[in-house]
Amino acid sequence: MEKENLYIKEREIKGQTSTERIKLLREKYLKEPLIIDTEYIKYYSDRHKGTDGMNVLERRAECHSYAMENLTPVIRDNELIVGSKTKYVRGAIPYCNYASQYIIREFNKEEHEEQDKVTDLGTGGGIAKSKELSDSGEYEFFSGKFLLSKEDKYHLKECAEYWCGKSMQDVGDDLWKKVFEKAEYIEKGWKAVLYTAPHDPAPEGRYVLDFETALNDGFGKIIGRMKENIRQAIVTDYRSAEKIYFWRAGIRTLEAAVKWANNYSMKAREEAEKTSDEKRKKELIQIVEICKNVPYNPPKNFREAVQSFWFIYLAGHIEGAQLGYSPGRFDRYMYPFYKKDIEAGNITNEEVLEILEALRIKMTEIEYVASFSWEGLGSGNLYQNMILGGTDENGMRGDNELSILILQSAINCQTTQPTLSIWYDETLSEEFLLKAVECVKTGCGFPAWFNMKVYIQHELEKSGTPLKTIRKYSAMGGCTEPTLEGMSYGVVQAGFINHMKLFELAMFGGTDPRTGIKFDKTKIPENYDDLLEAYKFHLANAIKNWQSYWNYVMAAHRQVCNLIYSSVLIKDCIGRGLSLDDGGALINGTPTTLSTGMVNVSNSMSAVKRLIEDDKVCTMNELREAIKANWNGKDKLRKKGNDAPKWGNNDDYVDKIYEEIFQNYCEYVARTKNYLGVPYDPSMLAISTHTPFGKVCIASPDGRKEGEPLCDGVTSPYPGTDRKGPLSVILSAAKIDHTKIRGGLHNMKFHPTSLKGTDGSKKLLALIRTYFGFNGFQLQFNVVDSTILKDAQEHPEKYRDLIVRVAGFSAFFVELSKSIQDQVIERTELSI
Amino acid sequence: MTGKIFNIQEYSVNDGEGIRTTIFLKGCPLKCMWCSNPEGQRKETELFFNISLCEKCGDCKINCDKNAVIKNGEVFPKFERELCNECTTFKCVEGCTKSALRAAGEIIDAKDLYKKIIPNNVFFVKSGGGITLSGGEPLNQPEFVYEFLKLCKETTINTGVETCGLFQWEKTKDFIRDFNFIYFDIKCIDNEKHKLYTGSDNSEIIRNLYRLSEIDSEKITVSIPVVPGFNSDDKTMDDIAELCIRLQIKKIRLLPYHNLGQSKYEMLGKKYLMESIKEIEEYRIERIKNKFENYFFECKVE
Repeated sequence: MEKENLYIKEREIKGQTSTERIKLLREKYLKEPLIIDTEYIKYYSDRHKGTDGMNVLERRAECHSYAMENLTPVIRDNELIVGSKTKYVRGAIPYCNYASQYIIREFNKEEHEEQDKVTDLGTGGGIAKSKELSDSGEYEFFSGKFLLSKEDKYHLKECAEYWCGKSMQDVGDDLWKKVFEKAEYIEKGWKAVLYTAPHDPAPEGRYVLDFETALNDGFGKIIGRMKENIRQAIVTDYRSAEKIYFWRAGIRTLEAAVKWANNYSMKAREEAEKTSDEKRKKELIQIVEICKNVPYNPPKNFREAVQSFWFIYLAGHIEGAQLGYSPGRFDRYMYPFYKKDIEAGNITNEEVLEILEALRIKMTEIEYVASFSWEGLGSGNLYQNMILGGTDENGMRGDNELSILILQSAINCQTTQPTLSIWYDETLSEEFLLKAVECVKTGCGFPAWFNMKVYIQHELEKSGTPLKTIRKYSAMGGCTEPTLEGMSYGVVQAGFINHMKLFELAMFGGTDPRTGIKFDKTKIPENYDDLLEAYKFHLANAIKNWQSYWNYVMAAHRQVCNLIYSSVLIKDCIGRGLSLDDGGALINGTPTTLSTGMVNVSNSMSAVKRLIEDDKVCTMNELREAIKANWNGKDKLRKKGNDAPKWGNNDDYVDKIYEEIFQNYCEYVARTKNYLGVPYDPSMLAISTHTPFGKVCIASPDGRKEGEPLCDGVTSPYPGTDRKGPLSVILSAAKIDHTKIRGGLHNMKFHPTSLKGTDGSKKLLALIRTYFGFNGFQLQFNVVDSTILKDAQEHPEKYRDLIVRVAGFSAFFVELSKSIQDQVIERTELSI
Repeated sequence: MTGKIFNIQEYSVNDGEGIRTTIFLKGCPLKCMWCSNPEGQRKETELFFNISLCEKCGDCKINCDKNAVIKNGEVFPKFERELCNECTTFKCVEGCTKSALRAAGEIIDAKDLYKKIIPNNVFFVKSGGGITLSGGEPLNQPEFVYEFLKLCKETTINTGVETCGLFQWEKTKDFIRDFNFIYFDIKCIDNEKHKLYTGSDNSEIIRNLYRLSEIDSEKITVSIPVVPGFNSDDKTMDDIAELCIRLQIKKIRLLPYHNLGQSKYEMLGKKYLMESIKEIEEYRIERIKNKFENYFFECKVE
């Protein structure tokens, strides 16, 4: 079929940045390399050296605050919103205080983790730029994609060595490796890639700060509140004393954030004096004033509110090694500022658009560096999720004019962050919903669609929070895990469990067929029932051990990396005088346990049942041998496995299997309490785990060959196996009880012609509504021609700004590794 | 009552209002050169061979009981299509472990067909969609269609039909009014031209259009596949407009020619006669659309 006509259908909706300034900012971003900046961690470590003897909470606050105050402020040409995590456009901070072993290993060019062998990274875009510059000799290449200058390398080495034995990972290791009875199981799990690699380098995230209070009160008032608490406190025991330490630590971090913002004010004044451009001078003078006012005081207008938001948000991003830290219900808490300005005639919608586009670029600039395997798993993405719509506390539509402008800004200024989501509810306006579909049609992969009523049911059951609160504050923490904004602990979870590896353990009596590593021994199954029972055993076992291990690690987190700044901006830590790690948040049930590959297990079980029980075409032993041999010489049997019922075809034969395993999974996860004393919440995801997880799995009864990726998402069918069409796919997915998990992910790909015009948009909405009517939870769409994607693989230079969706985020296509690129292309095209 | 179909397409967007499931019936009296569903022309089941999946293992030759496979050595198999056209067993398909072979066409009972599509009804209801019968020529299996249509009516599923217009009026006149809408193909009025490009006379087609419009012209949309070099000229379009005005048909649908079905010809071992024809330019479609709108037609472009 090589005579493919090059029928490259242009995307129906193409974005155009609304002003020249934004165009320039975006273009500049696209040209920048990724680069390591050690400034923060160097200051942090220096201060750490001088604070021995300080209370744990105060010390943490002191080191972070000292670094914040000393960070070099950078204001670039054309910037409207200012504030950077590092000195560079695409700079990353190596958080040695979280983990430094991986850095030392990199420097010693040592063997990395087992996972690294099965990880690959993207090579295009900013990564290619980094490579280019590193070849020039002034820079080295770090962790596969970042530039590292000689000076930064020196500091980085020093810091990494300093934190040896002191980092969160090392402190944690010192505990669990020595006293956790299942420590060996965890280590084996990493070797077999039953689990993703240690999460320590970037464990934070999946929460949303209380922006509403932070903006409307201003840091000044919040500091005042803590000072008052200290005044009124009476110390009777260490617990009451600890509260004072906490408030003092909190005050320190807020004051440091104010100083940091002030540094930008001074920098702006400097730049204003330097520039000869009158227009720019005026702008910079405005920035001088804004950065003096916020975040200490409430903002005076919308523009100030956005700058204040940015400072508040970014400061939290600097304190923690974040992945999934999100802005939440931006269109709700920012609306009053917008409305006031618009009604007074102080701002136009065009100006608002420009500000929103500028914010998009700022959010996209944030980078993270972690161990190699986590780079690959996250595809470098930070999952900053801005969720729009939803309802107010009375259940009435929550979309407003600002919601539509935010969507428009994303259509205009195509960047990967923030990823947008829609909290779907029946009361939302049609205008807003059609705008959201328009954004989907640009092909960037967002917004994703989430069924708010399903989450409401989940949260009511899980935490018993009042309905009004849930409605008003529901937000997305990270890619697909809902949380209550401003009052929940971050979902600091331990990475993913590989379902197919568990299936293999069940098949082979507890021994990993690839490595020969022995886990708990189980009976080698001869029939379907035995197999299912063994799988359930290994599933429960792996979950329990994983959760327990993480509880140990979190003890170290409290000592080394407790998030003080974030704590004082989350209810009700100040009131209780307790940090997040001490249970200060109102909601502590958000930590989830994640896993990948349930669809593959269901498809494999279905094949076993069909081949061995129903059709009796072979014995379990014969099947075992066939998959061990990667189907070599067993073409006919493989075909039968391929033809066995597959998830995504509305076929109860396999769908009921999925339902059963899913129920068990949810039950097992909830058996263990998290480190805050609340049962873990089940969730599922893939991000990019399905590729490395698949690499370490042998062939499977469903016809899959050794090493091939697993399914992505939670309910999306395995590529190529959904043979009936999108309606059947949805009818399959609708069968599970989505209210049981905190999350869900379902990918669908459409050819642009299937969604043409308003008619096409309405049909897509009808599809979403029907699925949500069944209590389905999540849908996300890739609307790209696969011809375009293939072309982008051949000529990345032509597609520098092409964004597509992978799992819970959008990425620049050329920066994805080839295996993920291939996956995106292969994912079943639902078109003519 | 059984019938022959070759595809069920769940999420169709060009075959009517809302989300529709389109059922493609096999067999058509016309043989249009631009047909994008060539596997719909013959009533008999046919063989699709996807060479890109073939690994030259030769299992097809081993399993074939008609001696229709030519393969000597490490080459791709060649299929004697005349023999394949008479085949009813398709053992080669069964034997191919690489899924490179597929039989297009299955016999199905009207009741079973209904059972297959009824789960999608939730989507129809939500979107104002339903079922569209297409093909091939659906009205060439009137008894089958009649039974299926009756079942749909019982659950008030909106049902439409896409027809080339060449069917036996006597066998369809009693139930054709039960369709919610009818897309009736008119390629051109000039009979000589029509015979050249579709292989068939168009007098019966036009007669059927007359008959149908007497029953209910409101339900009819005249569908025009716009094929450059054949019927995209002004005179053809004017003639069609004139006919529709006379019959009080108010709706026109333009289907610009596309060549997405080309690979199907290769897979069927058929020659694609439109090789040299390019897609028609958008501005020319616009012109034709404007022409119809000037005649006060409601004109859509798919």
